[in-house]
Amino acid sequence: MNKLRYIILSISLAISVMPIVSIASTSVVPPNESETSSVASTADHSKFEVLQQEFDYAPDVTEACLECHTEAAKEVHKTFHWTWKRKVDGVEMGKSKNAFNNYCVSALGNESCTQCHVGFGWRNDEFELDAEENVDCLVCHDKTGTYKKSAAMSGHPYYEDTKVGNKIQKAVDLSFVAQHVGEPGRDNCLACHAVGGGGNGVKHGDTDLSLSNPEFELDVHMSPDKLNFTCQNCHSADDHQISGRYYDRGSFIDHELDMGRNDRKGSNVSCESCHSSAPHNDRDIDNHTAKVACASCHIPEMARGPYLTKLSWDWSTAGDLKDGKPYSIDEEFDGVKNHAYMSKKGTFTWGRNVVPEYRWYKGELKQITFLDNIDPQAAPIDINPPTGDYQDPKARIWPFKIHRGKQPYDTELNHFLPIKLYGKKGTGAFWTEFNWPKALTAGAKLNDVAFSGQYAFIETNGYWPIKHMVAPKEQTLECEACHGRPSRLEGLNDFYLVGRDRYSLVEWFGLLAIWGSLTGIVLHAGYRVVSAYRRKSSSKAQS
Amino acid sequence: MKKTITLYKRFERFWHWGQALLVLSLMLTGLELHGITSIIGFEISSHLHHIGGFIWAGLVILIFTWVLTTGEWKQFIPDMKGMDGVLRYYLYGVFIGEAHPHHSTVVNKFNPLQRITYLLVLFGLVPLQIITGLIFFFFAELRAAGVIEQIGLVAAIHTFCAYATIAFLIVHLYMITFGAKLSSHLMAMLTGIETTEK
Repeated sequence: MNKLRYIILSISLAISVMPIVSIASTSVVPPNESETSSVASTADHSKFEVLQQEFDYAPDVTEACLECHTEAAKEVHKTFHWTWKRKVDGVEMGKSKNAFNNYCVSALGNESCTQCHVGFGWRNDEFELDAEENVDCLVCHDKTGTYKKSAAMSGHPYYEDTKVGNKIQKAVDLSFVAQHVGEPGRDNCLACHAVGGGGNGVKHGDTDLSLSNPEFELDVHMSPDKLNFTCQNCHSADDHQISGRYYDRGSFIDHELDMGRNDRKGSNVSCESCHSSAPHNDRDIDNHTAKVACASCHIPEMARGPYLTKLSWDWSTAGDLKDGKPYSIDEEFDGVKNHAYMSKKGTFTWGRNVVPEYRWYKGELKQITFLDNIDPQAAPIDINPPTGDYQDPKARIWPFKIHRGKQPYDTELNHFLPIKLYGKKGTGAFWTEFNWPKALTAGAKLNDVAFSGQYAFIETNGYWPIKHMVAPKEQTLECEACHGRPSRLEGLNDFYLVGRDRYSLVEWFGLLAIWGSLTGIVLHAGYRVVSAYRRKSSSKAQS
Repeated sequence: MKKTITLYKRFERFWHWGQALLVLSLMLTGLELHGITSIIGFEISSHLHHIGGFIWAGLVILIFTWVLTTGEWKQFIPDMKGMDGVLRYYLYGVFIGEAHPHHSTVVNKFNPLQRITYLLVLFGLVPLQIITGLIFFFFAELRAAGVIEQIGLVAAIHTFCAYATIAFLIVHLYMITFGAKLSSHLMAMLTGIETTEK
């Protein structure tokens, strides 16, 4: 994104100064060097001798960092960014253990997924999770925008020019990047968090690459037009621990306001932390905040930027080949083209400016794992449903993207199955062999999951709370969206909602009383007129 | 011989028409809030409904004070004597040109049917509607205080009363055509002066 911006900027700059440039020098300053400062806080990293060397191996950069930042790697080792798992009620869960979703199901066993791990080369069990030099400092601290991690090398940066898809990915100049480090910016976080699930915007519904440099319309907080927030403005960080929702904690504690980070125990800053729970100068609207999250009205749609988010993914159709080769079909979704079918992945639907669904939520999602037994009759199965209801003082109505999946499960053992997707021929990888039994057997083995050999596909719901891309106040949801018919809150029936709810007995009474009165009056008045007319004419006749 | 009496005093006419205006606006905004109509929108309806509701509550307190202190409350005591005559008139007599059996006087201005109806409306329906409205308005505070958890029942009563009020208003408007002339009752309510044959 940044690159594109520079290109556009330099072209427009070039056009505007064309007449002068044509007679003057044509030297071009490398865009990154002109833009990126090597000074971070009070230190100029380009002045450190240890960084003034040619690096050809990324862990060497980390070792150089650690010469001054002696505790950094130890801190990172304790973070969820590193462990990819947390213990919840005695069960370890996360990308690296037991947990799954309804996108590519499981990261473990698919070594390309670890390109987003804050380490180098987590391909298999042999990866040393306690080696300090394995920590990737640059992916978060690179300020040049040139640092890119390779899927094929499980998170090592590109050491040489590599063809990825149709374009050439240039080798990373590690020395240049190492000398231009600083506080993580939006692009550092988005490099992974915007492309989860296999591509830009796929996973979250409110987190895609448009947040790199959003217009005010798209995100009132992050837009450089105004506040220019980075992610850490809300996901406050200390000792490399980033506040936010993990498997073992809620994302926010916003029924208690104005809490410091320690009090919040690592949950992130909520809207209320800054805005209070009564920010509207309007009692009627402020009264909503006890039961309705800010996001429900202030993020009226999800995927509000130019990019699509994935709405459904049916794995059961994957594996169809044309002349023995995988293919894909593109379709237009909300004005943007994307895959509707891929042999590798199955059938998708996508959307942009999508109306979210609403659920009670207290910042906690109840994740099920490969260890949990499911009842196939209960499909669609909620993989990570939010908890809470009307009675729960901690729960509020939140907007959600509910990603509809159809994914493999073991029909004998009644649990979900991971898929071996990425790998060479002979590993069972689905993306090279297109053989379900092999891919499921390999996936199960790599994830320590039992597999009977019998499988089928079952519908699932994946829940993604919507909280980014807060819209300007003019675009706030109007009352009728919920207090009307149809209501966005359809399905949340554990309370009475004005404008949406009616009691049929009362409505029948109303109909009867009002129309009955009217009908009675029309008949009565009609007969009065007729009888008066008759009396008149008969008295005339008598006279 | 024709005789004129001042049947409705100045304050009485004021509260009648004030109440008429308020009830009408509460009805229109209420139908909007209930999703039956969508003309001016939910948000503005909500604000108007709240303002109108509070003014109405204030007015009703004044009305009750007036009714109780002036002794007018006696006019609302049910009196079944003559009820059969009134009912007979509306269901039969009016069609054959009979005169209304009830003759209003200052101390007995309501016929038996009016007495029972106005008693139920002014001292039943109106307070019930205002009380449920107030609970509705203060629901957030009441819930926070642990007094009530759900508003559903209150909402049902409030809506029921609203429909009953609309039905009352429809019949009430028709009933004003039963004076000596079609406009007699309306004029009486506007000027206070009722002309009767004596």
